[in-house]
Amino acid sequence: MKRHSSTFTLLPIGLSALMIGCSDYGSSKSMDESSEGYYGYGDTGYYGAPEDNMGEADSDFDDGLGSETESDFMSLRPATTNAYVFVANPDRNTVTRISVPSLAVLTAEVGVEPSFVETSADYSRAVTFNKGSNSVSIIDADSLDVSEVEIRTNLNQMKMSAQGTWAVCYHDVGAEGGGASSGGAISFNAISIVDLENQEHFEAMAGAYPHDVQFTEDGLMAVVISDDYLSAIDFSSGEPVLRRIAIADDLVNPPRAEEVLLDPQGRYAIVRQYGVNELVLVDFESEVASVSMIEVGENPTDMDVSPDGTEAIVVARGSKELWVYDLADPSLPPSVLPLPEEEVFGSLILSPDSSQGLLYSTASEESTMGVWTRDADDIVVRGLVKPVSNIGVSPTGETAVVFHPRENGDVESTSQFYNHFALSLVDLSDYFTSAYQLAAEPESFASTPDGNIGFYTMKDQPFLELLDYRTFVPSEIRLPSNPVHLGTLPETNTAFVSQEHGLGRISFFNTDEAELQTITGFELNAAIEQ
Amino acid sequence: MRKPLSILTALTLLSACETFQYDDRSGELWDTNVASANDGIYINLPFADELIRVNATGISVVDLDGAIPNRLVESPDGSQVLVFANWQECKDDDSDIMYPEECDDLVSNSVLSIVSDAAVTSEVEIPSHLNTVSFSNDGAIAVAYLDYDAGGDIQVEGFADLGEVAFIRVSDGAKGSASVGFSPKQVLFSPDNQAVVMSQSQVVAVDLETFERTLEAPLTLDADQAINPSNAELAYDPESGVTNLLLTVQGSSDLYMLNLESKYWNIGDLGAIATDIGVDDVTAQSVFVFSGSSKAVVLDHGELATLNASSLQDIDLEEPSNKALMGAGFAMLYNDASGAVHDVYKLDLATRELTEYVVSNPVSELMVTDSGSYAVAVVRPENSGGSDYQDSRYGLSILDLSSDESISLVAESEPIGVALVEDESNSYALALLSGSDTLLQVNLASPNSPAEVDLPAPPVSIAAMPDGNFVITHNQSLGMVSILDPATLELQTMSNFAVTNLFEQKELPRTEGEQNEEAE
Repeated sequence: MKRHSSTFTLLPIGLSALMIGCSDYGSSKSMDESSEGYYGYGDTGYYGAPEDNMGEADSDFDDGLGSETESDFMSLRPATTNAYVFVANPDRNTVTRISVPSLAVLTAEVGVEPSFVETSADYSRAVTFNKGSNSVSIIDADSLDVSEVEIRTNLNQMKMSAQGTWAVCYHDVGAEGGGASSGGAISFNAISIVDLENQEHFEAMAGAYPHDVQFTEDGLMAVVISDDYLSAIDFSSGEPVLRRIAIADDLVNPPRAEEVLLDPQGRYAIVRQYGVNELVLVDFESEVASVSMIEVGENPTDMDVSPDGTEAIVVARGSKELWVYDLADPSLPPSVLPLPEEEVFGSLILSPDSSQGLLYSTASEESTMGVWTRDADDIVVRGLVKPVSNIGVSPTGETAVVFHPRENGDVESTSQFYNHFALSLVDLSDYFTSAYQLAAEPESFASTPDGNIGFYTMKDQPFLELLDYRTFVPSEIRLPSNPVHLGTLPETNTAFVSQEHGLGRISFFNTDEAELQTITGFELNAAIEQ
Repeated sequence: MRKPLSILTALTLLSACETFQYDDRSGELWDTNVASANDGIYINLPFADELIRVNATGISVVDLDGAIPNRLVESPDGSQVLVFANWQECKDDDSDIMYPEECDDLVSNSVLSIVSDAAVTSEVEIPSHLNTVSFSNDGAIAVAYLDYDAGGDIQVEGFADLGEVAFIRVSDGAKGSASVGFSPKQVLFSPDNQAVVMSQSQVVAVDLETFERTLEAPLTLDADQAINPSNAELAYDPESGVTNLLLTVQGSSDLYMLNLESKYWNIGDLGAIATDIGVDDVTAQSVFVFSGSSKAVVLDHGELATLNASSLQDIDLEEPSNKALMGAGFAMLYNDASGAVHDVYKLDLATRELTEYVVSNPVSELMVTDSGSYAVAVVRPENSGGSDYQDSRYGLSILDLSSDESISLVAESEPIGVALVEDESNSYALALLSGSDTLLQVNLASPNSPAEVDLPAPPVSIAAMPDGNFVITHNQSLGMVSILDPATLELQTMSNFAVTNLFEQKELPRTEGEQNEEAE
């Protein structure tokens, strides 16, 4: 199958007469749906409700369970550098910079309702996406000088290159509040591209309903992912040049492009579409990008990259298989591993050392998981107290953290965990499992860099929960107020939790000192006149 | 409001009527709120509209250039007295008008006169509504502002900025002013020579050299929200060398902490609405007490940038305390508002050891000797009167802070003035009782047999003087003050000074033009 592409050169917004749409925004916070890219260890799954795709596409295969869900715990995720942590404060139109390790807190005013903040890899720059003022604020990390660049209206997401030189803003209708719009002519595929160095704004049209953006390693190319098109943006000339590549035969009602792996060098991308029993391979190296199909098992529901970046592994839920591709040449025949016939596994997460993989399904409502030992290609099925909503692996790879939903699935009503959220720790060396009933839904999760302690917070619960990966003994620290964000400071065993407070509140917990330190009212600092 | 005329005053004035065409003056001849300076006792004579100084050499009239004194404040070192005064000006330029009564267009000008050695050293114009004065740590700068809680009528001429704070250099009368927002509440002085002024919803710092505003730190980001400070203190951390402003606010358990070096806020939760703050520089800790909660909270000054579990430590009390009186390394916690609380606590801030004293009756006032050996509580009758003899009477409770013992004494009448004094070997309370011509010197180590000093007349008040003596004012219409040497218990009494210039009718003193010329 070959599909055509087209190329456009974009003009700076100041030099062209461009259509300006009108919209308003809902007040809800956006989910950060960032996923690790190809050669970045982690899942690349679709972060939405499974039923979003039910019956949507002209699919090759549909087992009726819908998509697997990979929740991102880090809603409104703070952005960390080795020197600072930046936290966006959407209610106060500010961003807070926390110095590490002094914990000195400064606040800078940015645009209206900064929904999230990203930092450049060299730690010199932070950028907020300001949902309420249709702008991005470019912040000098050291001086906290702020420049604001206006962007299109009706956008709700932003992705920035690791170098901090370009940002792409788009409207994801699947994001929380993404459907809200009103007034005038509304476009859901118009995007804003911001030259962060020169503070210049460009506009372009991507495919319909974009839902992700990925950058290459050098930041000179970005791919905007839509169901019908991949839009490749070339920044190498100093200005964005966009070409759209059709990835679906049915451009009117295409299957959802659930996952995309972009080669770090920008040579190709692999697209997994919902309910399609093939993967789409997009070759960017040819002048006119070519699209071809790669064989895969029935109903591929997850596609992951091995931690060393050499392999892509696809879970074919329908045919109950694992398909392993060599990313040096994805067109080479993959190796195929059968999964247990009696189980439904649609998702995979690999341990950091790639020695083990955890298989599970968020769609099957079955209380099981599989442990795939890669050396032996052996899969051991373990029972769990409840079905799975999400799984993480400790940084050392020794412990699996399994989150269970309130929904009961196949659990008996006599279970202690019936109608409760729950969490299980699984020792991956001997599969010893310990389960904990939770008071509310977990919202954020993080681990210390040394891999010894995990943290999570629950919705409307003023506690920082601690998981000791060595002893499995849980503990909790009372917070002054309900948590909003959770993260860990780079190169420290310190967790930070921003919390609900009208004037800003953040607490730090160092596992070595076992002491919670809290700063409150730092939003007032921005209003101090000297 | 017209003051009542005493019988003696009336008689005196009656005899003087023939010499005056018209005189509508009324009120007491002298104000017992005297100012004790190094060179003598300054006394306001409201009937004669004069300021006098009384000392061993006699009576000196202070020439205020026609200004009428209203209120006296001595400087902390006793070298000067600040006199709030006003002078009347007739806007009618008819040269025949000599007296205020003859003028139909009379205005009042407010001034602050700085007096030393019975003479005005400088005079500055000052808004009439400023009713409260604070002095910088070295006493060099006086800060005048309007405190609504200070009471009294607020005098406004024309338009007035009620948020104006006046800064006066006492040595030369140089004046500056700054507007600090609505309703200034309290002024503190930081080690870096800044005045930190608390007002509604903000804190303002003013440099005491330049009188320029150096900081404006709001307490809220909501312009519609009023945050009213209730108490404030400065807390020094010797380890970091940082001074923090501690600020409690009305109706909230929030503790606002402003690092005066980095200018960072942090807000802690005290768990209840604090009624008083005590700061102890010895242990670098502060104590908060709460009228509505039976606890005290101790704050470690070294943990203010980020609060942790040990930064704020609750100390459980059996009964709530609303006041904290600080000694060196300890706090005395008591309740002067509740008629049902009899507990006084000593909180050792180094060990957090709490000692409970139970006094006979509710506490009106608590004092601690300089050495920290004793505390003396002035107690009042129980609200209900009580069936017990002691319950229905005033008294003193003496708390031995070394042995943790206490003794309660019943007073024959209400103590109207108590002062503490110490010599090398003993600690004493000097007590004045209402209607009694006797001053009692109570040895706090053996309080059951106080020494008595006969007074020439019933006392009104007792206050310490800069030289270590005490000044006692007496209830005498024509004026009487006594200076008590606490070492010898000898009294030096001066009297009848209130008739000074009593019959001298004041002409209109000066015009605005003269005032301006003098100022130039």
